[in-house]
Amino acid sequence: MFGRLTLEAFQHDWIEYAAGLSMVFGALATVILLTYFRLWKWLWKEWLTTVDHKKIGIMYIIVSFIMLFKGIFDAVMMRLQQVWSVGDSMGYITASHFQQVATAHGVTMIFFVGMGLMFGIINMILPLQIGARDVAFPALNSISFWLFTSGAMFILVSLIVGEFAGTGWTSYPPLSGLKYSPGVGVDYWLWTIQISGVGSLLSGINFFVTILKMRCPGMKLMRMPIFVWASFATMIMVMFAFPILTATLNMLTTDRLIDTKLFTTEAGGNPMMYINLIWAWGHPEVYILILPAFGIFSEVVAVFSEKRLFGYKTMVYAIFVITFLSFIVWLHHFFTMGSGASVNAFFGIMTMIIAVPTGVKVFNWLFTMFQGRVRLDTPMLWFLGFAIVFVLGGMTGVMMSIPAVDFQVHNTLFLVAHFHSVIIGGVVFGFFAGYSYWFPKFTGIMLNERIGKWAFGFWLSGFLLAFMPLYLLGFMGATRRLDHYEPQTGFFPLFAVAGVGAILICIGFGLQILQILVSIKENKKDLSGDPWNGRTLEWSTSSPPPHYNFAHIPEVHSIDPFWEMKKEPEMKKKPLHEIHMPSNTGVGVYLGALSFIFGFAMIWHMFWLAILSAIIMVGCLIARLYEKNTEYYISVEEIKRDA
Amino acid sequence: MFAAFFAAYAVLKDGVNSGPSGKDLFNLPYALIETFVLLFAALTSGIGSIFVHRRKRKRAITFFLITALLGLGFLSMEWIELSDWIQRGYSWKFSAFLSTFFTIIGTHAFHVFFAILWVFVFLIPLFFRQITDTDIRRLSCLRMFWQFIFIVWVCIFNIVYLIGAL
Amino acid sequence: MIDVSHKWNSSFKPLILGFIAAVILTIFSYLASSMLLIATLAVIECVVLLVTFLGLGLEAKPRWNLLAFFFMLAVTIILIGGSVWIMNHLNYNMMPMDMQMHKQMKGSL
Repeated sequence: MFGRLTLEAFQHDWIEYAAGLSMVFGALATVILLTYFRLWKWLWKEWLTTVDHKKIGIMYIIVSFIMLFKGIFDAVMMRLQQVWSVGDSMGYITASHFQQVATAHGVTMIFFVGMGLMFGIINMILPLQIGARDVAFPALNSISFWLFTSGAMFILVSLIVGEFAGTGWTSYPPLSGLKYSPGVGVDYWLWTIQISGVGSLLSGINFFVTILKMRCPGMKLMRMPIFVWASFATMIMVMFAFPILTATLNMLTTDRLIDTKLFTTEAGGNPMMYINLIWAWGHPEVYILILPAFGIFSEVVAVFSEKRLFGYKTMVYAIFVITFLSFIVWLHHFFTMGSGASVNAFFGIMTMIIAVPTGVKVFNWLFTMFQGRVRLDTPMLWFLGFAIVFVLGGMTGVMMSIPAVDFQVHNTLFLVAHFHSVIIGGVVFGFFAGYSYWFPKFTGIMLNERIGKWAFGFWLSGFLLAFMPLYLLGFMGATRRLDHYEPQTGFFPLFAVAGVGAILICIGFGLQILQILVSIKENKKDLSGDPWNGRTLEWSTSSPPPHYNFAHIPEVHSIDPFWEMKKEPEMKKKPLHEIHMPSNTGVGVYLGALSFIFGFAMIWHMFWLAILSAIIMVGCLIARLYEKNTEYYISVEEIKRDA
Repeated sequence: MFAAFFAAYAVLKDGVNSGPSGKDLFNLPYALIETFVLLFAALTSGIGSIFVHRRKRKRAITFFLITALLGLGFLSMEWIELSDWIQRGYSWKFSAFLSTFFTIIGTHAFHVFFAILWVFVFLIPLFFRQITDTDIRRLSCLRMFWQFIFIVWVCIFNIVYLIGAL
Repeated sequence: MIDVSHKWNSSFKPLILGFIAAVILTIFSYLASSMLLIATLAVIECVVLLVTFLGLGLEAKPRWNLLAFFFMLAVTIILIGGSVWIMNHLNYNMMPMDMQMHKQMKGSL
């Protein structure tokens, strides 16, 4: 009845116990507080069942922050091991545990921090920037969020029940196949990504349709904010790349579950095909992560230079060149697998070319700043940090696009430093720029600027200290996922510096948490709705916006419509109409919970439970299809009261 | 997604593990009949959809039901063919070729299954009430789904069965 | 969502046309014995079905469906073609073979 789940699954070493128990304690504390303050009904009605894109976006970010905390913790654990485990000392965790931490760190950061933060911001901002009231499919939006959260639960639960994969975040077979990883670790990995991947794909469709069909009158495609263009391109990449991931994970799952011979080393299977396919998804994935961040910077740089973004058209073209090219560079992730000179040369050249549109964008941002009135508030500082770190990372990427160079540094810490430079410098700094920029809009209070600037300082210096040594270490021959080395290698001092950097990053993150608490206490309200002198439509609403976003759907005549609206304030009072809004629904929560049960059952081979939960999930979908009360109307009186 | 599966098929189809390849296993006349069954299903779903637009409830129901039945027929034929192979020992466990074959056919069949289920999900309310705009939208989507299923099958039939048996 | 008022949506003619074309093409494919011919017939059949059954390319401007279709086609060709190209090269370079076979295959690249 319990499949292969036995009490042994709950046995761990002391560190896993400590981590697992503190997690359970945190969850329990939350439950107790909610019960004590009698907030369950409020939580269910206002947040869990909401289909409001703004709230869903906030929930994405909250979950991502929790996962960011966990991911940073994993990183610190790795740094600690790499400082400790030298020569005779074997550090404080076993090799297998270290590999699980490394794998979990990668999965957490890419899927649940990177994707979560980006999808969260897109959720919050996109409808507002195109003058819409919500996304095209609000209930589907909720479902996507809950599938995302359900996926995250797998990593967290694996800490208590069973183990996680020790294969690296891309989990290559044959190591991840049945023969070499018969335990539950890789299965956890498969289901966490598969389920959250479905959520991502559904969001991709949702936002794509939203942008095409729900723009307000006058917002032609070439008048959309660049952030919207970036999101549009991202969703296209999501729709075409994620099914590749679904198929590939499916094939690995059948290899493990029903003994297919797709990626095995025997019976005609070919593990290299997995690597080929996973990176055919993996490369677009990293552009999916970065493009929204580029979009955020386009918004921030224009507003904080008080100047229109330079080169709107070329920005759009660059975005689409990146989108297309991202599908023809994937082999650069496995130059060393042996496809030979002609194949490597083609993909190497394509990879070099894809740097060009990105360069165009960077120059356009810099040209926007030129002769603008640059205000170095926190969002702009994050942009400057990005300009340094991301460009550095991008340059090392171009270095590695030369196959001959890549043969030397593939899978060394040089590679690790490269992708952390572009992901932290790009995605994370981009998120923080957007976060500090849009926080007042969604909460109605200003973030404490001083703490924000200190946090930035710690993140930037921490990042540089943590990752610049890794470039050197890579050249010296240090491989990735390394849990032990000899002192003669000379790695130790550099790892020590990196460790200090990690601590600085932790302080930076801690300051950001502090900043939220201080800001709530200081309660500096944003009463105008436009604290930064913004240019786009979201700033025309109150802070926070009413749940229907706009009392009147705006009509737009140019790029930067709000900037234009501020120059010529419209005095005519247009009549108010009833507003048609989607109702809350529990279908997202139910599907999320059921998908978790389904995945858990599949992992532990409790097939009766898997089938049962699958049937109930289909039942939920059918019930939703028959649901009549999916919409309601907001009366004109209520709109007048909000004004 | 199907592109990824086809890519895997293209790469792995020669991994026969000293066992049978497509040439040895495929019953082409049988597959041809399966193709026609599914083609008729795509046709009837299209006809049903036109009647839905014209709000002719009874005819719409009839044609979508025929679609579902044809779909069931298709699945039954696949079931018979594949279970015969499994009984002879040639399941997906045997070789990479069989694994990738079963994966493609299986994924396609999984989609056919849901298309059939969804015919019933959408059709049952129509027994009790008139056609609404929502129904038109949903049944149009379902019709497109059925037609895509057939188009994918055309690729499977030609690339996997016909070319595989050359 | 869908252009419900489209004339094509309410006429049986394209459906019947597409159906008959599909029957003919399928039978030809069945009887063909060259890989190229079968593949070509498959492509033609897919295009015929996409236009007659699914109305691809018949919509009013802007033709988003057509654009999306072409992008999908591009990605599909890149993914399948690219994978076959890559895997063939990998198989050649990474497969352990004895010298004879190695020399034999060397010509194919």
